[in-house]
Amino acid sequence: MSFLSVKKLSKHFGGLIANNEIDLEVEKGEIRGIIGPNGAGKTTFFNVISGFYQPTSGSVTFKGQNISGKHSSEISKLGVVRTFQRAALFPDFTVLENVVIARHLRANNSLVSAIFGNQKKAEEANVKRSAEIIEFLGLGDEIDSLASNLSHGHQRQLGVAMALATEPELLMLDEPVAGMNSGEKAVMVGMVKKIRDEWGVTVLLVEHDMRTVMNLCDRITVIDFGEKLAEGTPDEIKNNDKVIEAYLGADDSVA
Amino acid sequence: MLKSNSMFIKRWWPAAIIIVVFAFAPQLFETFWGRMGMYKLVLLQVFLANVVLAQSYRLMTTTGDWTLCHYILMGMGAYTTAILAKFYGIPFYLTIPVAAICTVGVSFLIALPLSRTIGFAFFIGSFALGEFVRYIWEKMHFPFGGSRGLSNIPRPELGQSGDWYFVDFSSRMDISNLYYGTLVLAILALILLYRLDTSRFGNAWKSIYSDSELCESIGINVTRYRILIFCVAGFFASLAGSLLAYQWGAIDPDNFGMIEMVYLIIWVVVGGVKTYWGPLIGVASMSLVFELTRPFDEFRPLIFGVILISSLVFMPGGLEVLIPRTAQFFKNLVGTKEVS
Amino acid sequence: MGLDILPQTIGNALVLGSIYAMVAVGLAIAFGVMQMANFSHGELFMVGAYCVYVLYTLFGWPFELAVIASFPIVAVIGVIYERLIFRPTRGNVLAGFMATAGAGFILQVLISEWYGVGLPKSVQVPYPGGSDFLMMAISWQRLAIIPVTIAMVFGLWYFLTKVKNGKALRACAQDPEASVLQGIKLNKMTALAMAISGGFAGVGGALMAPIVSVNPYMGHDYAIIAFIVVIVGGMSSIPGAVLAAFILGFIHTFVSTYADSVYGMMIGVLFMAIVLIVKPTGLLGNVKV
Repeated sequence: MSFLSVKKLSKHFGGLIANNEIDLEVEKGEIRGIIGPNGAGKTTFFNVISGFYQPTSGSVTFKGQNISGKHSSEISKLGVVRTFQRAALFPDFTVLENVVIARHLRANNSLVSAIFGNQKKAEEANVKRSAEIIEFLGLGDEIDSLASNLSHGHQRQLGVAMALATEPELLMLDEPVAGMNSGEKAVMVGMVKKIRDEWGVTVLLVEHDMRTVMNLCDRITVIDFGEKLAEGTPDEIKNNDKVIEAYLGADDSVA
Repeated sequence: MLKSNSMFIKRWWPAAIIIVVFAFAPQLFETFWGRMGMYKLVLLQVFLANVVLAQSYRLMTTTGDWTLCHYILMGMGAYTTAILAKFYGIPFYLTIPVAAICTVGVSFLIALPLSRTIGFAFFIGSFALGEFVRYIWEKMHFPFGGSRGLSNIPRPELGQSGDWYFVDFSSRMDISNLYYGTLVLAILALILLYRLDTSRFGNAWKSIYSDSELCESIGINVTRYRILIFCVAGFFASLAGSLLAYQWGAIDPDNFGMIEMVYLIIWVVVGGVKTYWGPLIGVASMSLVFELTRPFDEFRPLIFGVILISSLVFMPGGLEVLIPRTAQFFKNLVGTKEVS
Repeated sequence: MGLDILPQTIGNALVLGSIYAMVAVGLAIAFGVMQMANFSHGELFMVGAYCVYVLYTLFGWPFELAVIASFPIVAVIGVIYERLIFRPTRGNVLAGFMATAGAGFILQVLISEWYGVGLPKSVQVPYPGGSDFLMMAISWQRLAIIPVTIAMVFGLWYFLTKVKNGKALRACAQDPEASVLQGIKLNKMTALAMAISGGFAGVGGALMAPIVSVNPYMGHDYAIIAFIVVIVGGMSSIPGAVLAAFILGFIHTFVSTYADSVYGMMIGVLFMAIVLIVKPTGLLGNVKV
């Protein structure tokens, strides 16, 4: 059975149909890309799956469990975590503190023990794990820097680190290389591969940057005008007429 | 181990000095003002309760939620304590926790309808719901005493005369013993509030203020945490209320009205809420102004109104923003001894 | 007690609804234009009442003139609020709101010092006697409030839809940035909104002066109600404010007549709580506050 199974998912905003009966099956351990022209409905699709929007109809099933309509924090608890297009972080805290806060979900002391118990000891495991994640993603040098002082590329990496801190099984990346230069992009690509290869996290990502997507993804789904247009391996998609038409317009013969 | 102990002392010595000063206050007051000094101790007791209250309000604001019903939550603690002590003769070590639990329940009920609103509607909604509670106090003659309130609240007692642990609250000794009881409870409350603030929950609440969408994605259910902080803040507000009920000996609904709530806001705004120490500065400075303006007490609201407006317009961060600057100033004067 | 007082209760409800509308519309417009929330809106109401006390009772002006004069007088105070409090705190709704609490204190002390706080002032009733209008046994004084409110709300509607500055106000409420790009001066609009806000509150107080006791703290209850009305109606919606004003006026009057005025307030608050749970943006509102 598929790891993540989306069946006939629709999202309407009043009269606007942003997603129209989209199907998607993601296998465990794959890196899956979602691409499509601007305004195609990719981010809406993302938001519905991760619980930030309610679906109008259709279902989302994760590891056999129905998660459609659940609240976003609940979906995160079940192991599906998303990142944001913007640099989402807590600016007043350091990189390490940011990731430790993200460990909150997996920390296991109650409110009462937080007040009365030994705070340092309880946090030890969390701090250690957070430092591991930060090292793994190559942010080790910035571990004590204030999050607001990081470069854009590093900030996006921090966003990924925070998502990883929740020990997700499915990581949803929203335009992970947006706004990056080619060096930063390469770093991010390497990071995503590492996350899948070494930690076994399944990745679903939305992206505009073609080269990155072709490089990174095992399979690609194309969405246009809120509907699934095509699906397949990078090579298949590259040569798919419908996809080419969607991106470049109909083949106008030069008059 | 030794290292962490010395760091502890280095950080906390100012607080230790303040606690010692407070501990010797009864003697100091008696020395300065003679017999009248002991009665002036009441001022210090009120100050301590206000500090706990202000600190609990600051806790509330860490998620960015400012309420207008906080004083009512304190009133809940005061009324519950008064009712249990006066009508049922229950000792203080039970009335105070039971009152706190009841207040948490009321906080929960108030927080529920507010949990889907933010910012301004939250503020006003909390105001209206708080007033609702106050109307209940005014309408119900039993057990709240209606608009006349409750009087003759019995003083707290520890043991019966003859028990080895008997503490005499019921004679001329009672003023200073009551003071010490208040001091101990206040210090405990402040320590708990500090630990909460620095715990992972405290960080979670601050993160909600920073970026609630991000919090949702890392598994923090923002609505649930907002309700939680409302209840926890209510718990501590109730403690302050219990202290005041025992000190004043009589309470009525007018003690917990809008004017008092605005004063609470003034303390917290003037002091600042970003750090833990802001409210302490606010309560201390405003209490000082309050005392100094005794000769002009009909102009007091005007003076405080001007202070509030000036603070919000000219120094919105509160006086606490001056702390790092002041500390730096002194460091430069003295010359730093430690190697950073 | 029963159906025989029904027409009268309806009449009283209409009167109360009118006063609520007068006060709440002022709040709604200030909030709608630039999120200016005035904690001491009740004190503006109070100043309006004192205008009538001073001009009509002390100086002997005709009542109508005193009421009309209260509009510009309190409007000016509104403009002062805008300049000294709302402009410096623009962008931070809560800060402005709390600062106005301080302003309320200031107004209360000033009025107390000027006119004393001892016994509440009473203003003679310019339209004495009870009417039997439409079978409602209501005093003419109260009845007079309804047409004045209708006229003023209609006037405001006309201003907002047909007059250039009024239309500019609406543009500002919808999109401040776009308005500035169109050449609308933001500061002029905020001042105008606060002037209208103050004016309406002032007239509300002026009309109520002969009916209730005039003292520096009289505004308190009206402030709470105004806020409940605005929340129920939708924070920046003027039609919402009018609608909610009458709904709450009816609730309060009926509960007060058949039970108790404090219960009336309590039910009003409960109604607000229900609206907040079911539709947090208010009955006619769609602004996420």
